[in-house]
Amino acid sequence: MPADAFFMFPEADAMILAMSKTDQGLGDFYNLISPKIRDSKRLAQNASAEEIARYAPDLVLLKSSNFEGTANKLDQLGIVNFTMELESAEAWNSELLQLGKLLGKEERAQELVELYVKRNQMVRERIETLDHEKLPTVLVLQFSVVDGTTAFEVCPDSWIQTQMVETAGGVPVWTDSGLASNAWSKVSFEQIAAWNPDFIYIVSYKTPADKFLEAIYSDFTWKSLRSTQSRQIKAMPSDLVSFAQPDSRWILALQWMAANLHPALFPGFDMQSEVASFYRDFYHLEDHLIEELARSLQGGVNAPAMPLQCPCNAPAMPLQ
Amino acid sequence: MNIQSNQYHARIKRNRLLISTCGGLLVVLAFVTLLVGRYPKAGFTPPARIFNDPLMRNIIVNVRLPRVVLAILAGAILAGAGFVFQMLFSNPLVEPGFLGVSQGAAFGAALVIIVAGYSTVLVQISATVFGLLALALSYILARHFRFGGWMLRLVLAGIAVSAIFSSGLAMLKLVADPTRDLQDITFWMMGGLWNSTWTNTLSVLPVAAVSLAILVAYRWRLNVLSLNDRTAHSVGLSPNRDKLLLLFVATVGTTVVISVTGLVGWIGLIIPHLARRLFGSDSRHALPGAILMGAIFLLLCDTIGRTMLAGEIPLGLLTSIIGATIFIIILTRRRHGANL
Repeated sequence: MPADAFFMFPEADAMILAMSKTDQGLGDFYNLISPKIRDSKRLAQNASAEEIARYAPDLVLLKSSNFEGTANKLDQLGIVNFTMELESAEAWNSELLQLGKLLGKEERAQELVELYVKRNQMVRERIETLDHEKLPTVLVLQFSVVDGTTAFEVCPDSWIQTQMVETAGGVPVWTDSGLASNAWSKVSFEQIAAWNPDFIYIVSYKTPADKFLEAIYSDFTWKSLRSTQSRQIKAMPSDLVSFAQPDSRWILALQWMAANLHPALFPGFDMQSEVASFYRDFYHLEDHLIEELARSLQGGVNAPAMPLQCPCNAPAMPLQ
Repeated sequence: MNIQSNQYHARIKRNRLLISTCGGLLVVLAFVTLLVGRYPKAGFTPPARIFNDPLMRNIIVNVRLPRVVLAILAGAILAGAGFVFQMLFSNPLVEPGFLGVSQGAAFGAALVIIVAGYSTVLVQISATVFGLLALALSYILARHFRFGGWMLRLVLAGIAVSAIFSSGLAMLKLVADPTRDLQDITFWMMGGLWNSTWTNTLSVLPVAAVSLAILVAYRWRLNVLSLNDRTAHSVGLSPNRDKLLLLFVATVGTTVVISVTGLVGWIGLIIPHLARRLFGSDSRHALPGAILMGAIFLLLCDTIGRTMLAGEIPLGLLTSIIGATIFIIILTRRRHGANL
């Protein structure tokens, strides 16, 4: 998200900031790294241009989903704003450079881009050695429980989650399915069964994705799927936010996914250490903050090995 | 007299045949739709696959079958309740959604879920209480409006009460979780059966089935109750008691189903009109006909919604598009004989 990109510049915290509230339920990264943000009042997610104008900002950073609604109005009010898409590796590189120019910190922006390129390249070079006719099929599935109902959703083809799967050496099964191009689309269990992917990665932005795994593995309906039988349904890594989104940590999700899909190509891959080095290099976080984030690391990162026989507890919520 | 008697008996015979045909069609469709879906590929799957594919059997029994049962129940109760409302209020423009019952039920269900978490019993009770409250409010407001005939006043009151509860639902979500996008209330406002399981289907089955049974048992009296109260009283009915009972039963059945399916509009409005076109205005045949036709309609809409695309099409979207189209056709075609 734009805020994640912004805080990668060390001078960010010294600037006078107004931020919107987070809409994800795993935690608040900014409260952790910035006492100033923690103690300040936050804007609503859907703050109007007029509300933003009250702060007389020199610069407003927006995500592309707000472009028409808010950015146009900010233009009319003469407030400088920068809309960031962040839905691909290329977008992250180019938009970081642009952000660096706006902040007068081009050198730092270049350094960040090089860090991303290095990690990305390390994955791409190894994946290129594979036979592309034999790549595993992958489904990235968002689980959400809203109003007592469980929904399975898949993302549009153009989003970063789809690119992550392709870069990591997988074949996303949901592309070319005529799904919505700008929002998560609900799919039925039948559709998941029809795809029957080799790997399923569970994403959840409001509650830890790990919670859904036990329910899946103990649900009779899911037992027939290939990925269930081979125990290749895993939770995408997260700490205070899920890594599988247009967030600065997308590169960690990519690295993890690549190592998970092709472990032979990434021997000795250690997610804990990659996460620690990420926060050190990209955010210059101190060790105690990195340790605190490591404690909240979840997902298929350091989850204990599942027993061979699934527990026969009733699922926490209906899964069909 | 003989000619009239013969015509009457011929009509009765025709209607009974039509009801049997609708019933048979529903049974056939229920079986066919079990073989239609996205697995193993979109469309119809030959039955032989059931014997060779355990996942197919699993999907039919645990995914499609509860959904088909719920679609039939929901379509039946919404159409039946709509028919009863139109007869009792002598208003062809009412349905549970237009009188705020559906919106009140959705509000009640969402309120309990936000306040107390999801509990099947609490959600159904809350949905029923608020559905009844909305109906009462619509009726009371209509009595107090100062302009227009009864038909118009009831519709206007229903629109107002529906709007109050719809926006109340949106406010609930905003207040409870201000960081969430309001799109999260899509489930309640557009309806859907994608979350149907044996647990929630069986939880509504008893109440919905009993409601339907009572409505069908009372179908004989609906003809008289739709007349003025003096006439109804003169033939031995207690119109106030019977009307209250029917309204209560129709509302309870509707709200219990909505607590699981969300708002599914247009069925209660369109299907009774279609039923009267087909069966005439005699409730003895038109009500069971409406119930069967409602079940068929919703089953077809849901099957289309879960099969046509990889992503689920919201059920309310389909019933609205198809229902509104049929509504326009009904209103623009010349009517022959059938009266409300």
